[in-house]
Amino acid sequence: MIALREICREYHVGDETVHALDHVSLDIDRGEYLSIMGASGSGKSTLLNMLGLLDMPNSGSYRFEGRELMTLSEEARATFRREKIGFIFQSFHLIPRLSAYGNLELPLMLQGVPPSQRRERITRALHDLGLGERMDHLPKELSGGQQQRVAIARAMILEPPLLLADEPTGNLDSRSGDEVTRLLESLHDRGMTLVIVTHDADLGKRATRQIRMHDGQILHDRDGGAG
Amino acid sequence: MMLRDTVRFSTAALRASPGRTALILLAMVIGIASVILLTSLGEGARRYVAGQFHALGSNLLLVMPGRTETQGGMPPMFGHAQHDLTLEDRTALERDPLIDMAVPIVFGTADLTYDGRERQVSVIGTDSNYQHVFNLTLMRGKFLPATARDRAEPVCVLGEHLYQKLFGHAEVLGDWVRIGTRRFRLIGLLQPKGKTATLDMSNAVLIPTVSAQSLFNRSGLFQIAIQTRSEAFARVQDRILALIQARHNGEKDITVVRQDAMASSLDQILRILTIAVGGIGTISLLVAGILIMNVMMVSVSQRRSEIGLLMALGASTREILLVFLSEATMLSLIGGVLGLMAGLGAVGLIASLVPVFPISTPWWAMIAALVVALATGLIFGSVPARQAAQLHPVAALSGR
Ligand SMILES: Nc1ncnc2c1ncn2[C@@H]1O[C@H](COP(=O)(O)OP(=O)(O)OP(=O)(O)O)[C@@H](O)[C@H]1O
Ligand SMILES: [Mg+2]
Repeated sequence: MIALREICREYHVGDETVHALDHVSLDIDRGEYLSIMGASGSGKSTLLNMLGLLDMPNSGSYRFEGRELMTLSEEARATFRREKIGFIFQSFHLIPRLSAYGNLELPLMLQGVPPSQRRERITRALHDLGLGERMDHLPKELSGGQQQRVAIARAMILEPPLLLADEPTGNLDSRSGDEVTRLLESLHDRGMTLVIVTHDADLGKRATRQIRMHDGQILHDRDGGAG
Repeated sequence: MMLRDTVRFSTAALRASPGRTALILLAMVIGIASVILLTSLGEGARRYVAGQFHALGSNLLLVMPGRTETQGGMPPMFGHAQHDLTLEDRTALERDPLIDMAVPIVFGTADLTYDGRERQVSVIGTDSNYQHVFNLTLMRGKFLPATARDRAEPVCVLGEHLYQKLFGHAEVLGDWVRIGTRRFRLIGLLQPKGKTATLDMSNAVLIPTVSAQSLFNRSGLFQIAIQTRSEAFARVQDRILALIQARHNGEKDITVVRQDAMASSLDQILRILTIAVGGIGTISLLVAGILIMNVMMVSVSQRRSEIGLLMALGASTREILLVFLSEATMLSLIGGVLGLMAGLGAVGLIASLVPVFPISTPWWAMIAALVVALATGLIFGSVPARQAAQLHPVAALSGR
């Protein structure tokens, strides 16, 4: 599904050049469950942002389902993110003034789904994640685990083929973290391609494929784990 | 994103920070209300002056000896007359079917004496039609009689102001007064009223034309005031010129001025003044605009992670731009409408407190206020909106 070739991403801080990604090549197949681990600053988030087209490399090639993405216009990249990618963040990124319902409505609004079809889709998505009762709650009225589940529902509502999660359990206690992990794995079980950046070795090991990064490079890449 | 959704999203954002929203709205309201109020005051002044002029009698053309090159300007000051304007000219003008009345006017100053008191007054020699043409109202007595049209009857009519000055509350109607070297019987008192462009009525005494001519020892007329029924002033003007030219051996030696040409030039000045004060009012809108810009810039920086999220969810830069522009537009439009209402309210208040002042809001000011409000929002909102749209998604998400 995904083919990254020789991706470089540099930041210039003062006179220094930081190689956040240093000639990274990576293939991901449909249906894979991939975890990315490594020390802080090793380039995990940068790689994930690259996969989601939130960021553009200085050089290299990115093919998604056979299509080269490096040449896409800004508008086309936005469309790609909307249709192909579900993002999950450590800090949830729910819009605080909008209810769970309102937050789930955002992707539907951006996709131009007619208002008449929204309620049903949102209700179903929230029910699937056991949040049916929480539809009209504001984020601040929800626990961390609930907030992250709303965020996952939002990432999934347009049924994108690829889910990218940057430390999805990083802000959660272990019990909520486990819930979120199980939720993500159930999505994988239903055929979703899943890429998770994590500091949590236990979580990382559960993935069917693990990547370890160091200084902007992929150190090793192996199949295994419990999956 | 559909427009409906954009508006809904922006509305929610505005509601979420009521303090900020109220501040911007207040600035907009003050700006728009002051534009409305200032232009209404200007328009009121214009109407007031127009009303004063109207009271003088419109449909008025003034024929003066002497010639000016410019048409329709002020009366000639140093124009050199080849021929006097005469009562015969007046009679000829009167025969023109488009002319209702032709009133001769002789003007001068003389001393008025009564019972040992003396005062310099403006003397207007004219005939009975003068009253109609200049809309004069008698307070007491009679106006110059028709029999004195071309005869030196020794009668005079006095302005009320002058009467007060000269006689106080004494009853002198019917008494004889001396004007210059001659004696006149006081037969009427005029109601005080505004000034004509040329003559101050409140300090004037009216006597028959021929009496004035002999008093000042001149054969010509100062001017002839023409009242016409026709709306085609220019045509009447041309006919007068042609008629007098024919009578004056082909010399174009008169000037014809529309009284309301003077009124309309003053009207023009006040109109421009109204626009000018309205323009000054828009300066306060500029302040509102800058406030919108600043407050929204703060808002953008506080909502970076929200902007980043929208980008991650697949909003294009154009959509982000539209979200913030619609916020600015809504603020300015709502502020504009509220400001319009506040302005109209203030105008209504002034109208009820000062009924003599015909304060009135020109329609163009209302439209202009709303258009300017909208433009303010769009122009000053576009800076923060562009700032928001140009954020890098990763930087925005991390709140950097
Ligand atoms: N905007 C930026 N400007 C300068 N340097 C940056 C920027 N973003 C990232 N970097 C650098 O790029 C490198 C990789 O950063 P990245 O965020 O990918 O690390 P990470 O592996 O996700 O770390 P963490 O585990 O702490 O999230 C780091 O050295 C970081 O300092
Ligand atoms: Mg990171």
